[in-house]
Amino acid sequence: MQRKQILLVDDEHDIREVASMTLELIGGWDVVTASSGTECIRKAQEGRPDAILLDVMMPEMDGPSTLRHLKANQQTCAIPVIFITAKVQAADKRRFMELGVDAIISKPFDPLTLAGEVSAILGWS
Amino acid sequence: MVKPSIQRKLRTVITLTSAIVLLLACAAFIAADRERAGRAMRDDLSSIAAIIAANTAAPLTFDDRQGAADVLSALKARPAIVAAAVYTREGKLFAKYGIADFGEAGTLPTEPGRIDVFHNVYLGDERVGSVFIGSDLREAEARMRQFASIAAVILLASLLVAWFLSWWLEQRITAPILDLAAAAQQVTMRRNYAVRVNPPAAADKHDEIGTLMLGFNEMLSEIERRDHELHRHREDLEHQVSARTAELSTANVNLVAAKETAERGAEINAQLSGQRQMILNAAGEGILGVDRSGAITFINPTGAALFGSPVETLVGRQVHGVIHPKDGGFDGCPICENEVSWTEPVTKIRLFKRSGGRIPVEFTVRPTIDETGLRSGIVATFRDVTERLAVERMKDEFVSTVSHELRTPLTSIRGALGLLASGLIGNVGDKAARMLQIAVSNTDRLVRLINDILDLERMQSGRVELNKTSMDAGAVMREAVEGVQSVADAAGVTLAVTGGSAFFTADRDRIIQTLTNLLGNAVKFSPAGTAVALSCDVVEARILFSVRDAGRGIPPDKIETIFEKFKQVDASDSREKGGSGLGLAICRTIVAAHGGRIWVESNEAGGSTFHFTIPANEEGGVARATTNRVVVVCAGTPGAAESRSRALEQRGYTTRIVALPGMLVETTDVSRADVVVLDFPSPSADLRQSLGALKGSAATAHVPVVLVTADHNGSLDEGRRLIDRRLTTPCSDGSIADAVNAVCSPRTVLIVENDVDLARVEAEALRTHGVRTIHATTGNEAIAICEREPPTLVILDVALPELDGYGVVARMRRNETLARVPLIVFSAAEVSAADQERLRLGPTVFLTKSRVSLEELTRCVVQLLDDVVMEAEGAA
Repeated sequence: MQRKQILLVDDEHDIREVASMTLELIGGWDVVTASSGTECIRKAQEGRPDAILLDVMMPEMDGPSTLRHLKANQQTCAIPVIFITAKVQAADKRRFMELGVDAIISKPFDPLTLAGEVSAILGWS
Repeated sequence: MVKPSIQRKLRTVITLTSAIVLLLACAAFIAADRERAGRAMRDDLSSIAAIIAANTAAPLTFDDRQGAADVLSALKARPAIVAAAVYTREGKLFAKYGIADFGEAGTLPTEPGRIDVFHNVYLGDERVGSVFIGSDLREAEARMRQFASIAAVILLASLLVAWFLSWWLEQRITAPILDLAAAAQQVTMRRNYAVRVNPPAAADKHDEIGTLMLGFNEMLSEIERRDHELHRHREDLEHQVSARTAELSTANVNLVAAKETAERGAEINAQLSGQRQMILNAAGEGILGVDRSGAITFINPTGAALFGSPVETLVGRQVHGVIHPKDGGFDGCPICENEVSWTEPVTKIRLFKRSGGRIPVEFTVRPTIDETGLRSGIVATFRDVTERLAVERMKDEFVSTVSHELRTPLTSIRGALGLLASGLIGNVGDKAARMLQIAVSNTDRLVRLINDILDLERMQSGRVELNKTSMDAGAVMREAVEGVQSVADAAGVTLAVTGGSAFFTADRDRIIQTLTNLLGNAVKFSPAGTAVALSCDVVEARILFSVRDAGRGIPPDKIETIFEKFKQVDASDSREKGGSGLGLAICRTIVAAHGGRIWVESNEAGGSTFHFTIPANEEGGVARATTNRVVVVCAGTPGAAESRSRALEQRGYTTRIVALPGMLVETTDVSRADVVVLDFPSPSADLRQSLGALKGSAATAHVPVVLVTADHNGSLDEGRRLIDRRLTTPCSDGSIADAVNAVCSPRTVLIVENDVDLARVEAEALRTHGVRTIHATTGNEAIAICEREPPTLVILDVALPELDGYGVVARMRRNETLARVPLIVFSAAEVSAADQERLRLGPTVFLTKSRVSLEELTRCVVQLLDDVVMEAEGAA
């Protein structure tokens, strides 16, 4: 079986590096990273990842607008999206859920449990 | 002057009358007698003349003069006859008698004192001569004089008698009258009512005068009595008058004083009124009063300026029309919401309209109570909080930004340290690993600190509203325990949960947060091998949660301060145990926001027990079946509303009280309610109007109405279609509950959803279609609700704590009434065909969260519900 591929989107280089390391090491998945919403949309179309971990607060195009683009596109609308965010207020959470996001993981995450959470959400064993 | 005229008059009258009568009688008698005497004398003389004539016929025939003279001399017997003569046929003196000288002619001249009689002498038929006799009248006149003197004597005697008679009469008649007159005069002149008229003789008692006198005396007695009385009365009156005068003068003094007080009072009043007006005018906050009908009774200039209208145009208008934007956008009117609690003022921030826009307003609403203890209306103070909200928004943004900015580097640090410490990317030395461990735990602590500070800040600023739902204490406790289970396992501490289920209303996430905090603390301070016990109980309408540990306990001097920020028992704890020092402060804030209390006790055997209470949503709070139905109660009196509401809550309904019928339409609670109960023994026009408005508004038309009234003749008849159920007072609480149950919308959708926010959004969307919803966050709660009140349809999430979607369906299939319930499986991930079979109940639809919009979900629910109705009708 082919290894699952995850597209990790965050404007912070350090977070991309730490997160991709934990997802590769613990999850055993291929991780593709993107540093902006536009890059995310492009790479999602090109690479067809199995899931997208999307940062919410990014310059230029933020998480929610990126998500809208992904959902609007036939090729990417079926890809599950998990928000990774430092915004944890209930009102934000509700707004995000209404956008059609599959789950929300709050920052900072524990690198040792991140992969486990993702696989639980997506139903990957 | 006393010789009264009546006496003289009487005497004169009597004497004169007698005199005149006697005089007239005597005169008549004398006249008659004289006439009669004259005639008798003449007759007598005629007879004598006739006799003489008869006796002289022969002498004349025989010319015997002597004979004739003899015959005449017989007249001597009559001395009155002074002269007599016999004449021959030729008229010549034949014989004469008396002294009288007949002269040559033989005749005597007539004299006034003498009566002359002539008589012819016949012999056979032949006149032979005539006889003359003259009789003197002196005798008769002497008799007449005698007679007159007798009459005079009689007259005198009569007058004497009359005089005496009058004197007698005076004694008998006049005297009493005079007495009367004198007495009357005395009475009149001297006001001497003691005078009495001499009482009449016994014989006279019954005549008019006697009666008059007796009457007069009686009258005088009566007058005297009255006069006495009058005197007495007058004296009394004088006393009274003097007493009254004294009183009056006192009263007058008082009055003057009172007048002065009143004037001072009026002055003060005017001053106060002026001050009040001044305060109203000067107040920086808007102030308005609303009466029972919802009309504005007063508003100050600041308040009016807020609405952009002059004061005069606002007073008298319905408050809802003034304060609410026409296009909605107000979520619950504070004036109506205040009626839920009439004892406490309520402060809320809501949008109010201003001409051309709307403004956020902070409102404090207080009910006003009149002398009879009834609500007379509301007084509200309010202020424009646009600027404050702007500042708060800025602060929120700042906090949000700071939290993001802090968390971003922390995420990298925590991630990098975590990976390093795990050894996954290469081995590190023991000392280095120890250092890395310190770095990891302190990073975690820093993260918690930031989270707690932000959390506490939001809670304490009151900007986090409690998202209250009905929940089972048992389920909440289990969920909290699950959260700390791993920590407890790591610490070698066992967690024990005791206590049955008890339903109450609270913010589920916050209660779990509190329990998690307390359990986390307990685990942290418990030695390995001991147990932490979590229990719940119902005490005096409150749910009491207790977390008991066998740790080192709390020193008595810390028992009070432990709930303050950064006030741990030991300053080193935060370093050793990794706490932020804010956990208990957050707990206390959450509990206080629910109206509960939190405290700690030291156990005798060591360790401590944390307790907190949350008010139960119903009296007794015991695990009583709740229907999750919301009933809006509006009654004529606050007492009635509260008693009806309490009774319904005891039967498992959630109630909201709306004070005035006029406020029903504008109250958001009503549009969300399942039933409206109106308790008005005598319905008013106001009620009828409000009822019409309620049923006429799109937002509230679907809500059934139960009316409790004493109005038998149904003056609300015109609106019979407005009332779904009518009950007649007196009416038991039980029958009201039955009526409420009967009219409740039968279409109930159970939303089983882990994510409370999503569930709220779904419920809101369905409500606009007149569908009532119940929410369960866990599988177990869903089953409990289903068994209590079978829903018409279930929306089921698959990934659920405790019992997942598959488990819920399996349990429902085992229940006959639930096995055929229509189901919408609303999952995050697509369900495979094989799994779908395990999730089917009645008609089942599978929807994936990210793929369908809220509208599609709602459409699907309504379609399925309509199918159910059609099926039921078909079966019928």
